[in-house]
Amino acid sequence: MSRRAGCRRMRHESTGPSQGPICKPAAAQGEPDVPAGPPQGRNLEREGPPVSAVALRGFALRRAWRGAARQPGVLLVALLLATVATTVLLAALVAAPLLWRAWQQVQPLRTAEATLFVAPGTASADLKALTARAQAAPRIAAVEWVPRDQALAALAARASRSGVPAEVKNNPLPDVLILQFDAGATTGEIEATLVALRKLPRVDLVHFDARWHQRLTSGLRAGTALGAAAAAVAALTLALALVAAIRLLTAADLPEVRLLRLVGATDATIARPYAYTGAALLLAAGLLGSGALWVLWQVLAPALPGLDPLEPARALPAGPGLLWAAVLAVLGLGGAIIGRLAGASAVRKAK
Amino acid sequence: MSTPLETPAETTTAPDAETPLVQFDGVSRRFGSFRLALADVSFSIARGQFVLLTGPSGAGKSTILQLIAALDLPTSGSVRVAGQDIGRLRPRAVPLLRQSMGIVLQDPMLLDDRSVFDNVMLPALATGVARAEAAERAERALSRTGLPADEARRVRPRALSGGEQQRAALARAIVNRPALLLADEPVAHLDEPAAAALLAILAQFCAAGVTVIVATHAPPAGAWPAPPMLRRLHVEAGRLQADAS
Repeated sequence: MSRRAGCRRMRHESTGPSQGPICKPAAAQGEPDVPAGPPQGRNLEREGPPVSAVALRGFALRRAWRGAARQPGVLLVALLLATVATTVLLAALVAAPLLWRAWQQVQPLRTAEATLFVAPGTASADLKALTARAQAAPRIAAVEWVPRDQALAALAARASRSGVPAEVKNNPLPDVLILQFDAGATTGEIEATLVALRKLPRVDLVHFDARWHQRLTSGLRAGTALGAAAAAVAALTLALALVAAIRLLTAADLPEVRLLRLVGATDATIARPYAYTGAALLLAAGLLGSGALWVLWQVLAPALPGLDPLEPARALPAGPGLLWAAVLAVLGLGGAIIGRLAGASAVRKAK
Repeated sequence: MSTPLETPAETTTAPDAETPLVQFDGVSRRFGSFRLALADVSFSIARGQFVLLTGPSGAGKSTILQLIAALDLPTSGSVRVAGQDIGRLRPRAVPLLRQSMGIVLQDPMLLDDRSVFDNVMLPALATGVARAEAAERAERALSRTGLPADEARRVRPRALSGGEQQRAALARAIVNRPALLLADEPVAHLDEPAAAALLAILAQFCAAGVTVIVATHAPPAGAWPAPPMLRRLHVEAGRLQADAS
């Protein structure tokens, strides 16, 4: 066996970390250890436990614990911020299905409608032509013709329900075209189309409540933007709280990080404790946030009878419990990734 | 775990008995535009030598040690350690190289938030040695540097004298059983007897087969059992001025 091969064999079978690239001649490797005398260099490399991933992780856990114990105030502030942010995110998660349902109900309202009154005495052929031209106008999704007789019947039915007898001998109502616009059409586009339609022959009047449409679309847009901004701010707060905490911890660890680099610890070994701290911090924030939401719901529930925020989750095969566990797992994993990245950045700074 | 020796490209530079442990070929190191820390320095160090790297402050001794430990890279020329050009090492191979070395600095860099014993164990734990084995190694390392392990378990580094702190740093440097020991001004702050005692310990390591390189601006004047393979390299203004065995 070559000397190099012998070196490599010992690396895997013997004490591992002490078997670096500087390998002594084979003849010297077999020399005995001297228990109480001077060190024998590579000769000391007797059989021992190999490099242990478990030992490295245990070392990282102890370092994480030591770092947390050294600066409990930093961790508490980070935990507080992370808990607030996690509570907002969890609330958004719970409310999302309910908001989606409400959004679906609001959709028909978002579809703008205008009413086109046809001039009295318009012939059927002219009415058909007018309907076709309206259908072809920009941003119009559909055109519905309401005949004047149907309109009168509807009016009579409504009048009789309210106890007013409808005795109209000559129908004074015109034919009406209901113009439905695309959901994404802006108030300006709708008004531009209506200006063009008003100029068409046999058009008596076009009615559209532009102000109402503008308010509705603005309100929906603002609500959506506010919700997205709140979720983004919460997520950003969560990440920043974690990164700030890890950076403060690593700043205090700088002498140890420098020393670890000097003695041959890998970057992964040095950064691992921060991944553990990040995971633990976000898991704890997730648990505390869940508790805060539960307490909040106990307060709100009497005012919202019949509302079950977890109803959509109950429809899942594994129920809300598994969803909750998955959310905690995602938080833990996210915390580990952010912590690891912040730790790696600190290691780079120590170089 | 892979080692930097396992890639085919690096197999050609695998160390053997004849390969110098450390080899500098025309090495220069410039900091910024003006300061030349090392200028065209060439030398080689064989296995088992005890090298006293002497010279005044700012001569470039520390730069030489930092280059050997791959803590720095040369501006030009090549530094080879065990046949491997440190300028061409992959970043992941650098920690493995350092695991083969023990490094003692003028500042012992002992962590005051833990016992001396925990400080000594640190390199072993950081490189994946199980805790029981690391404790056993630390006990042996401490006994070889003349520090009682029981006391080391109880006290923090700040409770030790300067000489004891250097011994603790030395124990920490040998806990991973290095083949190469680098010491940068280890006796700078020690009185004559403490300095001689520390050098005597280093000489014992050398006698046992460890290559030792000690950088010092003030060579020991007092008596110390100089090892048979003692060699003196004198550096001034970044240039090698004398090489005497």
